[in-house]
Parts: sequence; structure tokens; C-alpha cells
Amino acid sequence: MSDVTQNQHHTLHDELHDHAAHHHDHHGHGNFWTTYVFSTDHKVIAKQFLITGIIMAIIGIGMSTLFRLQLAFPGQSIPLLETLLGKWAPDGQLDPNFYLALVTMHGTFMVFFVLTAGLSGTFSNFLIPLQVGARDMASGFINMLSYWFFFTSSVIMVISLFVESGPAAAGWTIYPPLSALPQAIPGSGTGMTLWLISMTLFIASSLMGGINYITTVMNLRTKGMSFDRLPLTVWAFFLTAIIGVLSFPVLFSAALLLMFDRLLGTSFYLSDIFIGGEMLHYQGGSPILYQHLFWFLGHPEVYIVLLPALGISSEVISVNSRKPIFGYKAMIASMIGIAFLSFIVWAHHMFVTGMNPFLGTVFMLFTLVIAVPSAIKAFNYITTLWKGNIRFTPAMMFAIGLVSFFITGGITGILLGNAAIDIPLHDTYFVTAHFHLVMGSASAFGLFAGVYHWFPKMFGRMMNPRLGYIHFWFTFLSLYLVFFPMHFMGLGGVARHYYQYTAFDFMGVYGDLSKFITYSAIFGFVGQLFFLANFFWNIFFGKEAPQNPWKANTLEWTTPLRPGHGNWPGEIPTVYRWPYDYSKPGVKDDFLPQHIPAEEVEYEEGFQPEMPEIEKAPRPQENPAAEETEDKEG
Amino acid sequence: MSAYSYEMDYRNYIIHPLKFALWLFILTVVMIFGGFTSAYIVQADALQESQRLIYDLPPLLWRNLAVILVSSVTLQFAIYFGKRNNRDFSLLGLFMTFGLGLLFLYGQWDAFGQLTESGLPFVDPDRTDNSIAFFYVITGLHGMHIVAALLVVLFVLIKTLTNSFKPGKLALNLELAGTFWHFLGLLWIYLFLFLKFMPDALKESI
Repeated sequence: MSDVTQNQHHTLHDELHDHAAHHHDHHGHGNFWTTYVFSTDHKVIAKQFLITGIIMAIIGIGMSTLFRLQLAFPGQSIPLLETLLGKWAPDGQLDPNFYLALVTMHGTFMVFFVLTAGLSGTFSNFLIPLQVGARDMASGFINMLSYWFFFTSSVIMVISLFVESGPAAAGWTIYPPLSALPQAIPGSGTGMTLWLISMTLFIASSLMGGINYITTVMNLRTKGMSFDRLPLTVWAFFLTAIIGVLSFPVLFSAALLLMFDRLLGTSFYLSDIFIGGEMLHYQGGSPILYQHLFWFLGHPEVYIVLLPALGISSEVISVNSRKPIFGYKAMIASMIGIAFLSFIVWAHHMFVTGMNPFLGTVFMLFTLVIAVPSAIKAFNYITTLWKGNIRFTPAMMFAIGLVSFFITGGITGILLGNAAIDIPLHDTYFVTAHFHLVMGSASAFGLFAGVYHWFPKMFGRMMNPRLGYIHFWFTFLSLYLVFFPMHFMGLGGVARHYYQYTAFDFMGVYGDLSKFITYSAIFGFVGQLFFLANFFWNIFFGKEAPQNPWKANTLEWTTPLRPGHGNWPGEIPTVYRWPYDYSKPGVKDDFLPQHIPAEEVEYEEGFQPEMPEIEKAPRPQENPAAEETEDKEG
Repeated sequence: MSAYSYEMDYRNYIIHPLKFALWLFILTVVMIFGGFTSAYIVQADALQESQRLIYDLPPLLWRNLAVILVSSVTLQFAIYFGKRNNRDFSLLGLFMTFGLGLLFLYGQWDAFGQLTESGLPFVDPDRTDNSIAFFYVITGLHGMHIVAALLVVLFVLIKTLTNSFKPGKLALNLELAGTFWHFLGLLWIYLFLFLKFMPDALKESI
């Protein structure tokens, strides 16, 4: 590409031009660096997030397989571990400190790097501009910065796995005093410092992304795209971004104070501590303060992880049931309800801190109220499926799987929301089972549903459905086989976070069950290889996709097969209807895309549309001139 | 990969997307300092009377408060004349704002020094009351935001000085800088009054 055209390209892409919009076909070809690496195109950034997320997921899930081996075979020598981990598994036995580090890093990787950045980063970036009818995010540059902050933070977090004293080992919640005192355990040394640096960058990335998503949804919707015509995916991403913008800064506050405690010797979180019989100088602080600040992010974080998955499954279930989503407005209202409630329930993670029981009751009440919007969502998924003309595409299978996990894991949430039940069960595998089903598995299934559904739009090629089904059954079965038995272990009192629990008779009886869980986990890990093969192979060699492979209504399928930067070569389509006009009586096709105006709808022969004026006219946004023209035309 | 030429058309919107994004950023800053001041109250409220520290903040902080308030006026002056294409007056306002911003930062630094000299350093193992440590954290982080805002002012200043703004961009940039700067001024009023009067308020509540 010559310099002249490149300059032209950049000038034309200067997104802050205040000139009138004009479009003409112009095919600029950036070089490799500007197209694939430092790209400001939301679609490329979405793919960068996805692929980084997949790599982080491989590491994160791999680590869980390693510590599952320890839990299944305590005290036995597994030479493979020594080969993989070297000094962390002398004689094939996992080092207890490294066990804690593996659990910590598994949580960190999966919660933040896979299910927050991998899920929101991918699908909010990819779908928001395409589905609201925008050329790109409000600021492509900040969007690019958001990815590179995320990338840097991922690199630092991965590097922390290799430092001499080992990675952070205080749990993904990094509670002080363990995380604040470098002398407490090896994992609280350099690894912990790197963890904090990495998370600070992650917070910055997440905030830049969130600000962009909200601004784009608020300001860059195409003509006619009112809020009650937004696909539920966009609603979910929008609310997720709002939750993130409000909660991540508080994690920054918490992390900054922790950093001062670690590095400068302040006592925000520390008081009256003895290590090795020696009293440390810290006084006046409170580790509970950290928990309050952390869970003020931590609980909304659960919904940051879950809501995008719920939004994706709404879309996928409606498209593949060939039915309008049941209770569109109820879905929106329940998501708003969940988003609001997510900010006033954080202390239900802290029932065991010796909290005032009256205060605990208030948090318990709000926690139980979340069951209402969640149940509304579950019922709406099921009623959308009811009597639908269901197509079991791989995406649909994963979306239905999400509903299954959401219900199974959600029901134990109602149990754990009660302080009286949470206090005995809090430190057992019951909690592990609960959150892995409702937040881990359900969100992962939302991620998979999204990848299978939008892969043709991302790469212009189809994934292999047969491999998709194999992947689904491996994953679905293994997740239930891994996490369902954990409920019983938890009820039996088996403590989570333990390196080895065979020394206690009442826990030791679960040894065989623990082996079974580990085998199931390995079975599930193997199943992911089908996904990886399917995904990476078909990016390059997949069958060419049709323009609208699932016959869906939303705007992204009106773009060319491989849309360039700017998404639509000509005008952005105007929106005339909501996105869920599937199987409309009398209409020729069983779907009616959002950009088809009432007068262009093709009806079945002999069908008399009774009240065509019932179709809503487009609602132009704050542009009286456009409104007048519209009126004249109508 | 191909790219379609297009230009974002922002004229149809009530608020420019970048201004909207700035307000969202401001919201995140509010949450950060909301977190700190809540943490301050939670910790200070849990103290027993004997653990509580009695101190006065340096009177210099009142001067700093005045400086940052005046700097908001000078920036508004710059915006007013910048929008009316009066380059010289706008530059004058921007220079004064930048100078006052530096003076504010210096003043805050000076206050840190005075506090430390009077026996109230950031880190003191003998102390059971964290409110002074919070003073350093809150003031320091606010100062970091002032540094960022000063860079924004400097950016607008240099672009104005070299006449390198694209048509229509000057007003937008001035307004963005103004919103951020005024917000940080307001934030400091809140933080200063909080840090100044909260210890007494908490003492009386017992």
C-alpha cells in the first residue's frame, strides 16, 4: 500500500471529524501491524480478546487438572507432575504451597481473564457496534488501548507463574493478611506483587472497555434502533458494562491500599499479627475492610461474568426456536433488577466474618430477592423453547446447557444465601459446586454458544457441527460429573482449599468420589481439544459461510460476509422492528430482519395483513429534519 | 482486509460521545474515592477513644483549596475566549490554569512535608488510627489525577499555541478539559472538607 493511500485511509478514519457523513467504497489495505495487531476495528479487537481468552483458558483449566490430580491421589507420586512442574513437584508430589498457588491462579485466570475479558471483551466488542448499527466503537483508539492493557496484564500474570517464589497463593480473592505479608508464605512474595500490578492493568482495561460499550450503546445506535428494539445481547452487554464501571474502581481502591500495606508498611488491613512467635508492628487495620471493598466488586463481578452469557443465550435460543423471545421486556427488567441488586448483596460472601447478625439478615434478604429476576429469566428461556420449531445447532445446545446449569447452580444459591446454611457450608465443597455451576459452567456455556453462533460472522466460515456436538456432550457431561458430586462432599463437611484432607476420617471417606471427579475433569479437558481443533482449523479451512447462516433478524447479518472496518459498505440500515420477529403469522419466511420496513414484508399468498400500520415507524434520533421527511414519505 | 471509508457523524446526538465517555470516566473516579472515604469512615468509626489521634491538618490546605478554585475560573476564562476565537486570551487562561495547577500540586506536596515534620508521616508503626494514612492516600491519588488533567491542559495549550486544531475541535477539547478540571476541583472540595471535618464528626458521634 502506498503512503498516499495510507494517509488517506488514516484521515478518513479520523473518527472525530465533525463533517457530514459520506460513504463511498474505498478499499484500503493496512499493513499487517495496523490490521491485525494495533487495530482500532472493533471486530479485530474482539478476535484478539477471544484468542487471548482461549489461551488463558487453556492455562487456567490445565492448572485445575493438575491440582485435581493432587486431590485424587494425595501422597502418591505422579512422575508427570515432576516433569511438568519441576521443583514444585519433587518426587512427583505437588508442593503444598504450589497447590495453593495453582488454585489461586486457576480462579484468577478463569474469573478475570477468561470469563470477564474473554467473554465481555469478545462479544461486547464484536456485537455491540454490529447489532446497534454503528461503524465502530465510540473511540476505536481507547478500545485498542483496552485490549493492549489486557494483553499486558495477561503477560504479567503468566510471567508471575514463573517467578522463583511462585505465583500468588492467597486465593483469587487475595485476602489479607496472607496476601499482605510477603513473609507469610512464598506465594505472598514477588508473585503477589505481580498479581497486583497485573490486576491494576486489568482494571484499567476493563474500565476503558466498559466506558466505550456504554457510550456506543447510548450514542451510536442507528436510525430506528430505540432501546426497546435492542437485541437482548446488547442489553446484557450494556448492563454488564455499567456494573463494571461502577465496581472495578472499588477493586482498584482495595488493591492500592493492599499495595501500600505490602510495600510501604502501612496498616490498612493489618493488626496484631504474630509470625513465628514474633509480633509484627502493624496495628489499627482491619482485614475485614478489605473483604468489604473486594466483595463490593466481587459480587457484581459474578454478574459481569454471567449477564453477557445470559444475553447471548437469549439471542441464540430465540433464533434457534424460531420464536420471539418470551417476555422481552420482562427479560430487560430482570437484568436491570439483577444489576441493581448485585450491588447490595456483597456481604453474603462474608457471613463467616463474625458479622452482626442483623446486618447479615439485610444482605440475606436482598440475596434471596435476586432469585426472582433469575427465575423470571429461567422461565422465559423455557417458555421460548416451548412449542418452538427448535433447531439443535451446537450454539443452541450450549445455550440450553446454560439454562440447565443456571437452574442447577442457582437453586443452591438460594440455600447459600441464607446465613444459617452458609455459615456451616461456607468453607466446604458445597460452595465450590455452587459457583462453578452457576457462574463458571453457565458462563462458559454462554461463551461457547456465542462462539459457535457468531463464528461465521467473525471469520466468514462455518465450524464443523459434528465436532461441536462431541464437544458439547464431553463438556456438558463432565461438568455435571465434576461438580454435582461436590455438593455431597460439601454436605459431608469436606473443606475446600485443603491440600490434602485424607487425614480426617470424615473427609477421607470421600477419597473415591474425589478420584471420580478428577477422572471426569480430565475427560472434560480432553473434550476441549475438539473445540480447539474445530475453532482454529475452521478459521482457515472451514466451509465458506452463507451471509445469514442461522436466518437471524439482527443487524450483524446484513453486513457483507467479511465486513471491513466500518461494517457496512454503504448506508447503515435503518431499523423498523424489534429483533425477535420469528415465525410471524402470514409472513412468507419464518424470520423478519430488523431492517425490513412494513411495506417490504413478503406475505404468504392469499394472506391479508390486517393492520399494517401496527408496524412501528422508525424513530429517528433527535433529528427533526429526518422526522419530517419520514412523515412525508409515510 | 478491506476498510470502508466513513466518517463518524456526531451532530445528531444530544451529547458528544467523548463528553459522555468523560462523564463515565468521572463516575469511575467517584467510585474510587467513594471507596476510600467509606473505608475511612468504617475504620475510624471502629476506633476506641484512646486509639484516636488528635491532629490538625496544615492550614496551607486552605490556600491550596483557593488555588484550585481560582484555576477553575481561569480555565473557564480560557474556554470562553477560545470558543470566541480569541486565541491570545484563551492562551493566557490556559497558561494561568497550568501554573495554578502546578502551584496546587506543590502546595499539596508541601502539606505532606509539613505533616511529616509535625510527626504524622504516612507510615508510622506506633499509630492505631489510620485516618492520617488515608489522608496521604486520598490526597496523593487526587494529585495523580491533577497530573493527568494538567497533561490534558498542556495538550490543549500546545495545540492552541501551534494552531494545530482541526476546525471545530478546539471547542470540544476545551470543553473536555474544562469538565475534567472542574470535576477535580469539586472533588477536592469534597475530599478536603471530608478529611478536615470527619475526625471531629466521628468523635462527636460517640
